[in-house]
Amino acid sequence: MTWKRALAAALVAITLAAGALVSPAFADSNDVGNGSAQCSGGEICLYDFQESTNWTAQFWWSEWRYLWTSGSVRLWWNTTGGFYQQPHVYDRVSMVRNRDSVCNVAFYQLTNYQWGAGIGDYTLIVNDHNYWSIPSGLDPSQTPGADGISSHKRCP
Amino acid sequence: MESIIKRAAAVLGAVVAVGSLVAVLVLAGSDHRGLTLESVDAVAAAGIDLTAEQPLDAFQATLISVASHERNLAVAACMTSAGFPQLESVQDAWFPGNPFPGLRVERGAFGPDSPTDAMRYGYMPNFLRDRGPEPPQVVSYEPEYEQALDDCVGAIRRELGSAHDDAVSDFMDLGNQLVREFGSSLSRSDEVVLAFSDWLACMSDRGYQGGTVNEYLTSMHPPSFFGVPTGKWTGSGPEHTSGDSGVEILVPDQSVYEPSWGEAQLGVADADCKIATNLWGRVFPVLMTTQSAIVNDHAGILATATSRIHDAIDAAESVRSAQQSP
Repeated sequence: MTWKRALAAALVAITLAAGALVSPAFADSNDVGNGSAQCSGGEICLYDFQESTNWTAQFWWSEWRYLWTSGSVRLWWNTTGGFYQQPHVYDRVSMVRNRDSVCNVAFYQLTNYQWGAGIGDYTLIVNDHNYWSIPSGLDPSQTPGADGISSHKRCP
Repeated sequence: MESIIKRAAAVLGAVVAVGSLVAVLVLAGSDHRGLTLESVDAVAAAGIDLTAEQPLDAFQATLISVASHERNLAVAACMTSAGFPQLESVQDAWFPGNPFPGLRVERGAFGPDSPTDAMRYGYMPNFLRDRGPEPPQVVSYEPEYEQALDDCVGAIRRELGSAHDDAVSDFMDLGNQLVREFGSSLSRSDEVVLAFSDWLACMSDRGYQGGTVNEYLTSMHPPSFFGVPTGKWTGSGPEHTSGDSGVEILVPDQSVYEPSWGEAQLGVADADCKIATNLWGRVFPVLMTTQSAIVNDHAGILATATSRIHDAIDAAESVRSAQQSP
């Protein structure tokens, strides 16, 4: 787990640097967190650190828009540019931070149903406020054609 | 002529009524011949008791939740001392959940097992089906609360040391490894492949054409496999208990999954084919044998990881007690 902590520490520094440049709030109703670009208490925060270090998406625990159903798909918020941009959030998630006050959160890849293709169908993120890597099995950029993370559940 | 039309209409009406009644009774699990619910339930029809202990129960997944909870209680006590008592109140509603539901074979593991399940849940995975009691959530808009929370989380983490995080992380890693091994074992069993091959042939007879057994077992969500659209979630989000700023408590929402009609019909045929091919009766014993083998393979690391997470729980309890002491 040591490399995760090292990576987490580096990412914290990157995010803090990016945070200094952010716009004050999400202007779009698509934001279901508290409107602040910081990962605040009670939020679950997703990040894409693959190509850009400033893409984020934040939501309260029962934000169901990541399901596989069509419509109402969130885009990434560009913290330096102050706008939403492609691709869809669920198409590229590399890190997650759980700031839930009480519970862990499980992320599932529903397109693989329960029995999976030899990869983990879900991953559990403890509410320790750390940055956690999304396993490659749940990262759609590692499995072309998959829908990636499709849903999450609080207090699994 | 008019009486003939009336008579024909009455006969047609009676046929429709009887047909509807039969359909409703069949979907409800009992028809006019006196069949019981069990006779249209794939698990019960196979005589399988899913409440009995299973080998992979040896991995006590709820310990992860308990360890996290003990740390949260310590953070909550620290926050109360800092003048933010909201976390104390929501912790009372907590209960230990199982974060690795895939390690235990339950109803719905292979899709709907009865027409009733099919109509109600479709192919919603059973680990999302059980919404369960969820505690409320404290959310923050206040910089002061944020700062206090960061301080308390940092302080408790320092007190617990890396041993707590490592024990929980390693236990989770072991859980994920067991899930991967158990999940991927399905397609490696000839008996399982043969059972699903028969089931697939039955589904084909019902008009549902898909790919190969291997494709089904390794990668496909059944509605996608058969080209059937899925349903949708309905309901509102969580309710705020106070205004739009400050520190608030969110209460759980009531979102429910509604399968599409096509998904529900697919599920009805699916459950019927499970019974016709005795799918559960053929697959379940293989799964239990597989579980036993996995537990035996990991007996040493399982014992060590379990002991370490118990130690982590004890350590968190000690830290919490110290926080609560005047």
